[in-house]
Amino acid sequence: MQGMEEKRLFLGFSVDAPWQETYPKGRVIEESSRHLTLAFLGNTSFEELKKKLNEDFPKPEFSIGPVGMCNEILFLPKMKPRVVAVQVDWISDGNVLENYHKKILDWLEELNFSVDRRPLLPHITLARGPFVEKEWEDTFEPFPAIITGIHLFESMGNLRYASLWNIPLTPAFEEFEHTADIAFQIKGENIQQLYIHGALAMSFKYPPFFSYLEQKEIKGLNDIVQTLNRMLARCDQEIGCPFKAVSYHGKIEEKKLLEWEMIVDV
Amino acid sequence: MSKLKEIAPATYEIEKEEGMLVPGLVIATEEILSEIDFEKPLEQVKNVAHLPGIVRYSIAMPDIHWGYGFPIGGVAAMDAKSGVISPGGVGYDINCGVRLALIPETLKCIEGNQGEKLLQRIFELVPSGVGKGHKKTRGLSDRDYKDIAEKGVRFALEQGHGFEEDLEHIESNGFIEGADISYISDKAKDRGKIQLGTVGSGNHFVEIGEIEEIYLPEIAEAWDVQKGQLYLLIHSGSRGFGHQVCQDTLDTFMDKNYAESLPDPQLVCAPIESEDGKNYFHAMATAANFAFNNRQTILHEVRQAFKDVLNIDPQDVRLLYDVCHNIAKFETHEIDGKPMRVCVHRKGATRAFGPGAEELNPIFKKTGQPVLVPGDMGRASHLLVGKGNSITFCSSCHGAGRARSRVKSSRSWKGRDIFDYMEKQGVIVKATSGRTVAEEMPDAYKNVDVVVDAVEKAKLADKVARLKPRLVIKG
Repeated sequence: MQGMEEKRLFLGFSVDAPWQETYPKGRVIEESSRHLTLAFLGNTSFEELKKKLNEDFPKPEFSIGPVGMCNEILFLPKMKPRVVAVQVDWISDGNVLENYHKKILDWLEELNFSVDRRPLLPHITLARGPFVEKEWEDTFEPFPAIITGIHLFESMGNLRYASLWNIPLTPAFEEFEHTADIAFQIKGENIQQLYIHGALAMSFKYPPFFSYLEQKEIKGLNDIVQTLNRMLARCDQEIGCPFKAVSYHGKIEEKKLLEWEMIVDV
Repeated sequence: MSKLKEIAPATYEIEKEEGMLVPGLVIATEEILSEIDFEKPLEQVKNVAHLPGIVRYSIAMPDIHWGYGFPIGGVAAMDAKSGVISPGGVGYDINCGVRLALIPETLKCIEGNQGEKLLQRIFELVPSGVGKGHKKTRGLSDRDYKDIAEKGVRFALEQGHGFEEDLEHIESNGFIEGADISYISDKAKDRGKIQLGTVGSGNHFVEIGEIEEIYLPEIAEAWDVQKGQLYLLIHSGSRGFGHQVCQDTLDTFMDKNYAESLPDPQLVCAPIESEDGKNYFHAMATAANFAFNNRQTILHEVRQAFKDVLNIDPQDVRLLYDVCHNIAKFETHEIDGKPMRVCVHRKGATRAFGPGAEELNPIFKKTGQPVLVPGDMGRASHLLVGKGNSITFCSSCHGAGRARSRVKSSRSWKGRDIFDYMEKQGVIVKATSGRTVAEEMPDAYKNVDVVVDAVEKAKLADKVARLKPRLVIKG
């Protein structure tokens, strides 16, 4: 891959999250540039790589973007931290993601890239130094995150990253217009996932909500509604909750995936 | 698209379609109809017309918007014997409502930094926003809950939170009969325990401003409302307690398949005369009495703030009226020339009794009852007088109605200093959450002036005064 213009490239997930409006001191990365790195490629010709990406880049087994909770703030590397990041604890099946990561590394190795085989620490970098760790620790609150696509990113410098190529993933939920309340189109591969993704959508509006998730087997739409409302009641009682209720609106539609319009009374 | 036929000024009929037991009725002007997307809420108006026992019309007010089963801004009266009662026709926030008090001072007294001091003091005394309860208190005991159910707002008065004369300035004198604490779940009681006297979040608020314009001097005089005078407006409801009452009932009704054969499961309802129907009414009335106490307690704390900051005697902060706008009530109305007992569901709609109505105090019996229509925190709110129009079962609108979703409003104000913007409009806003304020910015609402004009044209209520906000607390 010589003779072509080389760029600093890496593979990663694009992410969406209810980002804080303000952060402590630090060189904060713009929301649109925040990502979760899967593998560094180093200086590479994109033109050469593009053909291979379109030909045989490993397709993920999951059609819905993985979801997780950012429960912990990290200062990396540990010995002499230069960046502030949040660790992503997967709610989606971690093994599936681990296998997919492995497949990507195998594919890169076949293309003669040298790869880092250490277990992936899923994290999203929020800022680079200088920063005061305590300030970040004091203002950090856990929050949810959803993966929206697989990308080949270019490092543009000045904490900016541009997507050169991508495989979009169906988001676990999308908000849609509702005049008085809040409304989401929830998607899932099964009924259990619809419930988790419903809870996650509400956590995008109020992150502490997710900590009230009930670990239980869900039996149908009414069960989803009633379980989410139980979570809501407990949340309201203990710390307060901005939602009044999840309504008995709509039906589960079976398309390629299961879909449900969730309306939350506020 | 629903076909609307104008049958009177600002009054349109929706023809009966298959399954509808009565036609729909929409109160609106052409201006409102042309500007707002009515399709979804009008679909809901038609759905409500399917409910067993509905009488005459399924009605939409000019501030109508998409709600839970019923539209917000909807009115439906059900035959008290053969009809149904629906939690969706009341709403989650049972007896959400508004109260207006008058202060014997003008804007002058909140000039300089006095306004901010007052706002700060209210903010300290009245918890607002998500998770803000009265944490320093022991919370409500079982005995308190029993008293709230059985005594209504008199419970607050017995705690020293108000004056005897407040009572006859509250809809139904602050007490809905039929309330019974034994119909309330522990979960509801737990949620409400430290929430009495709290504003909550969303569109709830405490607002202080000035009476900017008087439209009907003779009514204003009878009510002792003067141009330039300060007012206090409180908007809140039954908080988590009422939400849980609604949820508990919906879960029961859904589990018993009461939603079968309805066009929308959110309309789930039970016959009024059935055990489940009666149980809901007992619980709803209890939540309504909780809400009256909530607004009374907030008023008490705000009166204290006026005393602390401006040395105004609490008794001089005179309650003009308190209205419910999410409730089901048994009333007698004339249907086809005969009196009929009906259960009127008003969801996002205000009772607007005219002169002579039995329940009203002597002053309002002469004039008609005050109808309170909060607009948005920037432009205006309105004080109207009810005309007792029988076509809407003596009901009027309850606010401006949202024109923009929360998400759209939030996005359009992202990155801008909304507090500074509001201050430049002459309104100081204090809130726990900037996001709530962004969702509640004035342009998220229809112009309330246009909404009350429709109500006046349709002869539901007349404009008495226009109120201009100056100091606002949001959740």
